Amino acid sequence: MRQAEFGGTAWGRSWLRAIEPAHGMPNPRLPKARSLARNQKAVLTFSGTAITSTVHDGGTKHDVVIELARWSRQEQQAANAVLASERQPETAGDLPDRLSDQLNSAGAPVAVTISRLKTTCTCLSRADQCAHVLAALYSLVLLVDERPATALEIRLREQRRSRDEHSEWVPLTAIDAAAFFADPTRGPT
Amino acid sequence: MIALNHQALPKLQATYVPSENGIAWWGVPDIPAQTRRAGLPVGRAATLRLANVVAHEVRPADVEAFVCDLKFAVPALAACEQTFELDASALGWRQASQTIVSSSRLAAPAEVEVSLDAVSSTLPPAGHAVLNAEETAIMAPEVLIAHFRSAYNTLETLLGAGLNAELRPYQAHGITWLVDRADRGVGALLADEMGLGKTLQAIGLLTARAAPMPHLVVCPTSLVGNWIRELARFAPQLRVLPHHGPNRSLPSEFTDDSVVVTSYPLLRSDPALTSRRWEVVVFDEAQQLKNPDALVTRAAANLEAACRVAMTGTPVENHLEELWSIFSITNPDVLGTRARFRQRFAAPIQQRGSSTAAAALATITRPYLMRRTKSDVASELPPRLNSTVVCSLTEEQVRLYQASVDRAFSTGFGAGIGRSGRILALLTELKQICNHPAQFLGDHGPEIGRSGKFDRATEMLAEIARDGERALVFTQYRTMGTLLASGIGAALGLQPVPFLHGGLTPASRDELVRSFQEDEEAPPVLILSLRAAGVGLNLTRASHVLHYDRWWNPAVEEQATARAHRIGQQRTLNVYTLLAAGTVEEHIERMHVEKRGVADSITGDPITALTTLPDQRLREMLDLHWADRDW
Repeated sequence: MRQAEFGGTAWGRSWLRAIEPAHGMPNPRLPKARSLARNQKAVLTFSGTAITSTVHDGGTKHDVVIELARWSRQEQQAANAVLASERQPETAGDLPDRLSDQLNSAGAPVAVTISRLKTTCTCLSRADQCAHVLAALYSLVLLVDERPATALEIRLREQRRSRDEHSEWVPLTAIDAAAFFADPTRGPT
Repeated sequence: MIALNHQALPKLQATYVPSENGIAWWGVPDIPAQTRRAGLPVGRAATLRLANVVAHEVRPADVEAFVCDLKFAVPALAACEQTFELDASALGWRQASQTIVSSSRLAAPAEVEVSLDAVSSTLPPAGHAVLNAEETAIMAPEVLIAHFRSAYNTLETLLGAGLNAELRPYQAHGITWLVDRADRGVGALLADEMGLGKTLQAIGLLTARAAPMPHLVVCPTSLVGNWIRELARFAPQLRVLPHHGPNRSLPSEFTDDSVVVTSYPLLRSDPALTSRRWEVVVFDEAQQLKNPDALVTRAAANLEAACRVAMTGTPVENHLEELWSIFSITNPDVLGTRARFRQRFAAPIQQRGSSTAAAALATITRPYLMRRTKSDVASELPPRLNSTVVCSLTEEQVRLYQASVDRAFSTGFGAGIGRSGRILALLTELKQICNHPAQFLGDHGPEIGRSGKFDRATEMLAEIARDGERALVFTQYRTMGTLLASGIGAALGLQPVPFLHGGLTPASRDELVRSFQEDEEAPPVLILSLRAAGVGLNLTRASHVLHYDRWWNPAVEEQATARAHRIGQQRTLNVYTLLAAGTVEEHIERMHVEKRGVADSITGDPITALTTLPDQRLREMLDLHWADRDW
């Protein structure tokens, strides 16, 4: 069985609905945006405040910034109640679909309606959401389908202490080259 | 005036590298000289990926090093007095070595912990510069030291338990890794490329985890004989109980160190296997479990075991869900439900080549899946690897074989000049039956399931083809060659594969050789008649040689092997000799081996020796060997 390309999980579906509202005229830029996302032309980078992407559209590149829209305090409280009752442990970035539905109905929406997102793009299009912004959002849908925990991480006001997957490893960026060969308990010689 | 250089000479760095199963010496211009001055064993030269300081930054780098196996490095470091040559990283590993060497004798466990903790807090990054797969981080010192300790302990355990094998470094690492999985109570998928010794590594695990509860090995029917033989060879201290054939039964009580060897068809049908608890269960050729809906997969999931290990050279043959299926046996919780796996990984990766999903899948499976290719461990491999692959007979083969022997002996061989001719005729019949009943009966088409050898050869060649490598298959029979050409072609989903035999014109033979050596689209397998493939052929594109049947003269087989193994061959050549378990083929093999043991110079034809035996001795040689056959 071939599954839906976008929105295979409830988490991705929430974002998909935010991009493709059921009412009103269909946005003519959506097919192109889907194609860019599908072909990995809009790879996302996450920071604490925004999602950024350099979208490759034919021979040109455009920088897209989507500001993260965290839950309000009230929404966060509603989310906390749902999350606190969740018993299933998180496995490798997955979260049950049920949890997404519970958050949506408890008043802590998983996705943000597109008209409320603050976005910018370096292209010259005057549309509110150009094809590049939409492509980045479709990439977000795909990423959320692959890793539902991402959907939670971009909405939470405070990051949960996830089980530290990397404590077994020391990032190279955290190592001082001057101390690379030296016993760390002794001072510089 | 001459400027005096006050800078101290560089001192030796040391890093324990798990994948090399050894300590790497590095960081000085002349590593062997400085290592020797410190009184340490030098080991083998290697270029390693380690973190190092490059242009005042810590970066992943190619580091020239010498790697010394743990079993030599640890005692030498522990005893090392020439500490002047050693930098802080090497001093750290010296202290760690002293701790674990003494831990087996005197120190209390708590003292060992305290001492190793002290090492991990003082070990500089150079001492734990082992990179992660993404080359973005190095292993934390306490983690690397824990690996070091468990690797050394595993080697000690194997030595004490009597594992009868010289382990290559990657094999020692594989066993340590498997033992570590078992100790953590999780399963494992060992997916090394064919020919790297997965069976030996699994036997290492069974040896190290010897327990009151028995182990279970599940393999294809055609490999039961091979497992029994390999267990007897590498782990003679284990008690091997074949569970196979109509008269099988399991004891109600097991002695320590028991290993039950059985086949997938029996796993599916025999409740005796699913109604008890096992220590380690090994699933060999685990692609047999790739269909999650199959009865055999469900039976595998129902086995109760402390640890489950799957082995296959091809964890994914066609679909990613095959990987999910194998993980559902070894590590059921890791990949989530089947539907979720499809949503998160299979669909994104297969439908649109998602690199994020592929990277996430690699990260999730990494703790439970180990795969090394030949090129990964090329420096540790000899130029040529010989293996004997023992294949079980099918019931049809057993019936035909026994009937032939009975018929021949009831007719009698007579004496004099006719005798050797009649014995040779019987030997030919038996060899044909071992090859494939279709060859003996003159049937068309070699169906799967009728010959253990043919089934095994097909599986091996499919795997070789999937790895993008090429193979030569030698047989001495024109009819068998024709059967192999069509049967293997069908099994690989190709046209019949080419067959080079004496009936071809010299021009068409040359064309077959040229095509095999040069054409991109040429089939990856070439069948050759042993007689026609005399001297002069150059088939070095093959990295695998299968002897489908025994010529019974090692010199002739050697000459055939040399078609592929010639000067200029850069890769390791894998030479497999197939033989049917318990049959005359195995007896002759034993004669070869014993003869080689006595004197390599004797290369007489064992067939001549057979024809001179009296009837009773002859019958002993030709009858099915029931102890090995275990029907």
